[in-house]
Amino acid sequence: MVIKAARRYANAMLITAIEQKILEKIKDDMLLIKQAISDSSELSLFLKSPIIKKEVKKSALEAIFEGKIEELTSNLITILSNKGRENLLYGITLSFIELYHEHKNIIEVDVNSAFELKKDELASLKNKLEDATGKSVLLNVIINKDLIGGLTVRIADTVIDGSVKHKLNQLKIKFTTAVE
Amino acid sequence: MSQVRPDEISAILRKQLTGFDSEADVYDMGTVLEVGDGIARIYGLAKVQAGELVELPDSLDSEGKPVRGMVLNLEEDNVGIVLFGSSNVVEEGHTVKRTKSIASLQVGDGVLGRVIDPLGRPLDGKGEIAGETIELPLERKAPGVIYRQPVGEPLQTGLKAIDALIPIGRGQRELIIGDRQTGKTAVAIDTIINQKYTQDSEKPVFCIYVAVGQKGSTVANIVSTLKEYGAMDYTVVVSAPASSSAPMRYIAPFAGAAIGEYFRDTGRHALVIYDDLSKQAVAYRELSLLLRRPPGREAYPGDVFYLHSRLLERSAKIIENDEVAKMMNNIPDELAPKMKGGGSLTALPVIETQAGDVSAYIPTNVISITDGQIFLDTDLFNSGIRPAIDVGISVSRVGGSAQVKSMKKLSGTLKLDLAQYRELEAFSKFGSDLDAATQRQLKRGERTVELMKQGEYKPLPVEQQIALLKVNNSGLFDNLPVTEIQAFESMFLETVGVRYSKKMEFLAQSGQLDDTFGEELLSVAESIIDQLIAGEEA
Repeated sequence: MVIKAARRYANAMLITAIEQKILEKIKDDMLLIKQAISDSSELSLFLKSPIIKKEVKKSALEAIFEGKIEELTSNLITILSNKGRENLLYGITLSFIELYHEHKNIIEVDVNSAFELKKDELASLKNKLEDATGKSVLLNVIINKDLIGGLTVRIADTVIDGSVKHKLNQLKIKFTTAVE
Repeated sequence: MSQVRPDEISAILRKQLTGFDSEADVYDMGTVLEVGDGIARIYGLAKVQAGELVELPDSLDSEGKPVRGMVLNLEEDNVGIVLFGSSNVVEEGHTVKRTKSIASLQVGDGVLGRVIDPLGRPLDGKGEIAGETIELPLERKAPGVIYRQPVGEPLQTGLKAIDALIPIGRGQRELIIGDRQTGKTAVAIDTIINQKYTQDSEKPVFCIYVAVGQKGSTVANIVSTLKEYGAMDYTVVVSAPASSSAPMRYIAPFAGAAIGEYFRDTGRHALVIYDDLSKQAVAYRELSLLLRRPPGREAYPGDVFYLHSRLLERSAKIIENDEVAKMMNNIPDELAPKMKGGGSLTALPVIETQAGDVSAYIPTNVISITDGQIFLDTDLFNSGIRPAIDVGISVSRVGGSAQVKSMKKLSGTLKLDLAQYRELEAFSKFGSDLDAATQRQLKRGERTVELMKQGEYKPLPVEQQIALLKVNNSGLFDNLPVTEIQAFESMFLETVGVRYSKKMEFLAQSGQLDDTFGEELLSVAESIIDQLIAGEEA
């Protein structure tokens, strides 16, 4: 769940980035910030903490990201710091990536597979999904031994389930209901 | 003894398993964000419909079945669902699957004689519902104006006081209202028992008893009473006792209405009793508050009026014309080929008041939706007048046109007489000297009130009621002591039943009481009264 305000900031960032023709760079910045916050629980706690003064937060953020990000991104950090909304930063990065994908007509697809997929398998899966959705697909492959075999594909809320685990479950239901 | 061959078994198992590696399954999924107090909030499920059933495959109840829920709130960033099962087994992060079906239940003629829960699952341990069933949604829009017809056929309750003074017609909604322990359920149960006589006729009335938030023991008692009087054969009991979850109590009356509609739309007659709607309103308030909908008067949500109005509007008398009835609005697909005109759904909603306060929120709402009310009074009940119907404020707005002709004629002035009697009774308590006319009126009123008394589970056929009213109107009772009225009633009905069985049968069928038979009845009554008076004096 992303807070509404974060979506607004992200939208403003996207439009400005497109205007300034630095969309890809900003996207990289956002990925960098997202990675930094999700990797360091200290940083995320630091940003959320209401006790730490905003000047401290501001200078800390500047120190962390200095020289690694575009001017536009550092401006965003400055605005957020001035308004005491650093806690939104993570949400903004998430929203931005979501909006970026929408803009570029990309969808993220989570693939859960019981086994490591080979390169040609991934390519054919990607092709099929692209044909089916009409969008370019970004695969997020997770290995999940629990599935026993096969794979599940999740596009937004819709799950295409071809896992052995699901099949076995269905079989179990079929057999137990037949008994009653 | 026939033997099972092992190769046969493996062949069957293999056949079952062939579907095994077929297509991948596609479904929509969400995640539980928070859960508590029987509700859960879900992230995802962007395409879910309001009122849709969802399943939580990770949360298994004590029987190992997945917990189910119903979508009630669609919010900007989450979906609010109510859980039908226990919320203890639901955890944050569990997946939620759409079922793509709106809350519904399986209905067929096989439901008669059964006790089921609001989702149609049997509770009486007699296995699945027998015979062909069709799936009907719990929530369905009421039939439009052109598919209806004015109420015209009587629905006999078998209670003298109701059939004479507050007649109910098929397709009517008549509220039964009163404090606790005033016999509201007894009126409803008597009405169900009295429908037994219709079962052999061309237009049988099937009954649905919806128990909302009642004690499990009360429901069990009612079921055994119905069985004892042979009324269970044509009755369905939908049970959502006090121990069931709030969503179950909330949807129970809708389940009753859906079953009623099945009979109504297949051209038959049904009677549904919602016992009681105050408890349903409380369950709905509970859900609404937990879902953080804004509370209004008495903390009920703003749409509690709509809750009851949309339910009660579904009771209707459907137009006799099959062609028109087939075009009715919102017919579920499975029901469409079975549609017939001329059916009806009568509703007897029950409301419990607190200390006789009919001006509370829920009672006023339901009074305004229904076509009249039967008001039961604690004081009358305690003074031995049972059924404790307060004739003064009980009304039936449409039932009069459905009353049997001779009954209508006989009961014409009865209500007025009783009202005048009540007024004089209060006046006479001052002990002042009264003129002869007043005394006569008091005497007559006293006897009429006595005649209206009736035991529980003893509904009277309409022809017997007519005969008794004929005697009452003639003034023959004036000389009979009040204490002898009950004795007279049983002697008279027995004698008439034996002596005039043919004529009584004709009266039951035609509803016409001709003058000669009327005279004959009066002469029988006179001889019995003389006999009773003589016995009294001796």
